[in-house]
Amino acid sequence: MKQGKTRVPIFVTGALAASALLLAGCSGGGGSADTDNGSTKGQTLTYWLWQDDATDTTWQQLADEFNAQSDHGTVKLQVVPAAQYLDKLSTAISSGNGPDAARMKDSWIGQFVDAGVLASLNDRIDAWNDKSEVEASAWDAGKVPGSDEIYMMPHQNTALYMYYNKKLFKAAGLEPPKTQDEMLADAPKLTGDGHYAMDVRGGAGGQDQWAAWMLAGGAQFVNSAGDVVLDKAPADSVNQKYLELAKYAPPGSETAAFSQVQSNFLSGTTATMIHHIGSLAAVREQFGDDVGVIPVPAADPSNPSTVQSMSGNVIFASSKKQELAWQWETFLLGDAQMLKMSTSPQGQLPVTTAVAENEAFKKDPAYQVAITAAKTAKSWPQLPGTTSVINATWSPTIQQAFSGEITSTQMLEKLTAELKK
Amino acid sequence: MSATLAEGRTGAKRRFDPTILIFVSPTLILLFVFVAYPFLRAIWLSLTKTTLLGGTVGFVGLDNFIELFQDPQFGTFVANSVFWTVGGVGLQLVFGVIGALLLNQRFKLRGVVRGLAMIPWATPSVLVALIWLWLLDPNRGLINTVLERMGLMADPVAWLSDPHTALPTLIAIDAWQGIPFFAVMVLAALQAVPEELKESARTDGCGVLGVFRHVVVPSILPTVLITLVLRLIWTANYIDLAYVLTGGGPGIASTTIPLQSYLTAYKQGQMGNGAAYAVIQAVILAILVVIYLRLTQTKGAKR
Repeated sequence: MKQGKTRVPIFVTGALAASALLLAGCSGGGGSADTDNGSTKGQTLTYWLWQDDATDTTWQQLADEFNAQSDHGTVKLQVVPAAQYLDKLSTAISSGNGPDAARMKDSWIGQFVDAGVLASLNDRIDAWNDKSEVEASAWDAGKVPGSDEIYMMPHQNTALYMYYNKKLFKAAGLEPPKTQDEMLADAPKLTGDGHYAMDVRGGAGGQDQWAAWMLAGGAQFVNSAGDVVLDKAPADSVNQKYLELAKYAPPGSETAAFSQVQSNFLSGTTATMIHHIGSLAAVREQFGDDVGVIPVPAADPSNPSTVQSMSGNVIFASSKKQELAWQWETFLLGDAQMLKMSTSPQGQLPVTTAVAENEAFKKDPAYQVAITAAKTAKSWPQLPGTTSVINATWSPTIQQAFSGEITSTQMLEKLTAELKK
Repeated sequence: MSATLAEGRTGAKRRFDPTILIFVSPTLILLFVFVAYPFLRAIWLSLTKTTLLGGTVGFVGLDNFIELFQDPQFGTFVANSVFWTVGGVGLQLVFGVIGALLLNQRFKLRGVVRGLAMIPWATPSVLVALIWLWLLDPNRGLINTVLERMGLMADPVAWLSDPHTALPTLIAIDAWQGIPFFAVMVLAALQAVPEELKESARTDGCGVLGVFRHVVVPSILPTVLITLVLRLIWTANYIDLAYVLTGGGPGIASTTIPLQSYLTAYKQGQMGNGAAYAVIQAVILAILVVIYLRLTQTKGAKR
């Protein structure tokens, strides 16, 4: 299937080789600069990860490069399928058979911090020479509300935006929407004759698309004090608009997962799709120049927001190889490595300043929309209840709201209660 | 003869041979490791507050069960479980018996047809789920396309996304998968019905229906009952289809007790609450297990 495989835009690939060579000289991964390299020689680090593209070998290439360096121990990758990753990692950690370090999402760390299994990285980060190379906002993804402790090294980021099908919009005589009210006004005009405005994706993974809409509409998960305020204004009215969009979504959208959503957009069934840079190559392969990228329609376009999802790397408190884990995780943040990962088939937005400024990203309007969106994007709050909401509560709850079994207000109250657990 | 047996039994009671323990110990060890320990552990977990990452926080007595019974959704989980189990097995019983009777007839390529009929049963559950996911896709699926072109419906139906059709659709898929097993079991019983009995019944004036009712049905009934109870137990515990196809949704429209047990334990990380669901499921199934044991003992005794 076309959408199953992502490919890097040609000009991005072209810039890769030259940029990698140039950037490699700037920073080769901070770990080797600040650590006692001799202490980790002979050690083997067990590192767990999921692959966003199972056919891509970038992770293994990076591990091979790290292992080829002679001044520290080696890393052994253990790839776990994405769908089972959190279950297996949680089970392994609880039974004492977990890895030394692992790839992690920001929305997961709350429950791991709550269980006390993650090592705080503050001391190491403070002593790290390349700390300032990482985008300042990226560090927040590794914190839990109400604490300054950092538990995750940021690595790859996604900020959600909206794709729109230029031909379908032109046929309907519409300009791409800037506000949520415009989107709701356009939706009926984009629906009919086998076409629909947008998938509302009530199935697996749909919580990010919904969160992007909610945040863009001005709703908040938590306030500055760290209190959950998802049931406070204007969340209810923003949520009602999202539920309203289900009228203009294709059949099955209430339970659709990403494969159906992407399939509907690529086939021209839907006119818009909220997703991130990870699907850009597949979308462009299908539509060429007939697809546009815009920020998620907001309540106030001058005050935009969206959801971001940061994947990073954690070190487990029980590991006896924390120094080697630190060396591996800072190696991944080296400019050459970061550029290589961000331009790979499973690449997302870079989190280091130098790579974000790379020509490969600056020339591409879609990347620019994503990078700009990331500046005002917010993550799901890293609360102990967040994982439960994402994994178990959100889908059935919004599905009940779609079918009218519960109201928008009841839906938000339920999610709020679960987040507070 | 009966006196000899009685003496033998009495003698066995008097003299215990310790070597018996050596012979049964592998089985006992396996049963303890893979059945008894997990079962007892689940009961213990259900009485504690235990999270996936945090471990056991403390003993809470029956709090998990009280919380579960007070959950307004619990009634829906029970109703879904009953509908799923009875509906799925009921369809398998009816169409399995019909299939067995058809496969018991003489026709060309009977062996090939019997082999092909087993394909749904032999296909892995996740593959079955994916096949039906594609077939039932509301926008591009074969089933909607065919029904629309035949003029049987005007708009595509989201079979797995509508709260009213999701569970019945899952039941239909489960029946499709389970009918071959039922058919083969009943077919085996049909083939064991003595031809002389049928002939005697015909001689006594029974027609086709009379032979079926008075000879065939009593002969295959023990097998049908045992198969029925087995399928009830398996189907009640079967969550693969619902997990892959609907995730228990839309909402909780297709969430059964064992599926909720899994979702609570592994998706919400609440092992204690998840174990409580599992214990309740085990208690309900224990009734079926007792029925199964009595049936098999009765059948064994008759031999």
